[in-house]
Amino acid sequence: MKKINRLLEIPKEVYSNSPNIILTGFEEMIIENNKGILEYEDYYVRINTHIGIVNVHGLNLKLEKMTEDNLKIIGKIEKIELESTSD
Amino acid sequence: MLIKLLIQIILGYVRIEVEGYYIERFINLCTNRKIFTWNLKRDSGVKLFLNIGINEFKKIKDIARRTSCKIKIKEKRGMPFLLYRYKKRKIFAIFLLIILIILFISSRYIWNIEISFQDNQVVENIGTDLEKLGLKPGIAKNKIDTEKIINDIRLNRSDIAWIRNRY
Repeated sequence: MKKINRLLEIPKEVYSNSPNIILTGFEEMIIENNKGILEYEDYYVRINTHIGIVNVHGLNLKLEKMTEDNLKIIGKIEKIELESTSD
Repeated sequence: MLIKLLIQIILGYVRIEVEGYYIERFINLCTNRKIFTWNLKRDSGVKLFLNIGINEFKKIKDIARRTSCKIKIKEKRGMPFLLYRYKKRKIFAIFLLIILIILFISSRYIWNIEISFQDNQVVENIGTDLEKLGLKPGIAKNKIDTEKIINDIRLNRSDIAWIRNRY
């Protein structure tokens, strides 16, 4: 199955559960394929994904446009940490 | 996404304040039930501001009860609230409608004919010729037979080489 997907050049975030993180500048971040929010403060967002946890530190963080598996964070992003839980 | 927001503005949305200790659970439940929320902002402390459409507000009440959060409506925005505010001014709306209808109907008639010449090249009695063919003030625009006017003037008059009709 993986070979077929690679042959057809389907993006990885479509056929697998791995998240797709897009950073536009330092003030906008889109996370696709997320599983939900674990913590949310003004200065700290903790997002659960299928393969791990993404920590975002910053200032005045807002969640804009929440849908089922799409999440957009705006605000001054200062640090991003990745914690993988599955091995 | 922009279209989704536009639909929400037309259908109306509210900005609410959620107060409680399980705000993350609240957000996750909202996304799991496919409730569209936007502009979430965490206040210092235990408050959260978010926008939600009014047709989904009842669902969110149920979630708030489950997560023991308190909900307060901060602002009401969108078309339905705007219409509700102007509900008492019915005559205003009726007159606006009447004026629009009058404007629309009156724009279908010819009100004035103005003939202007360039460089003193006077074309003699073109106005009376046009009037004979039915182009005079007060006539409806769709009753003007443009083909007939063009053909007749070009046949009868030798001093006009080209004529065009344009609304």
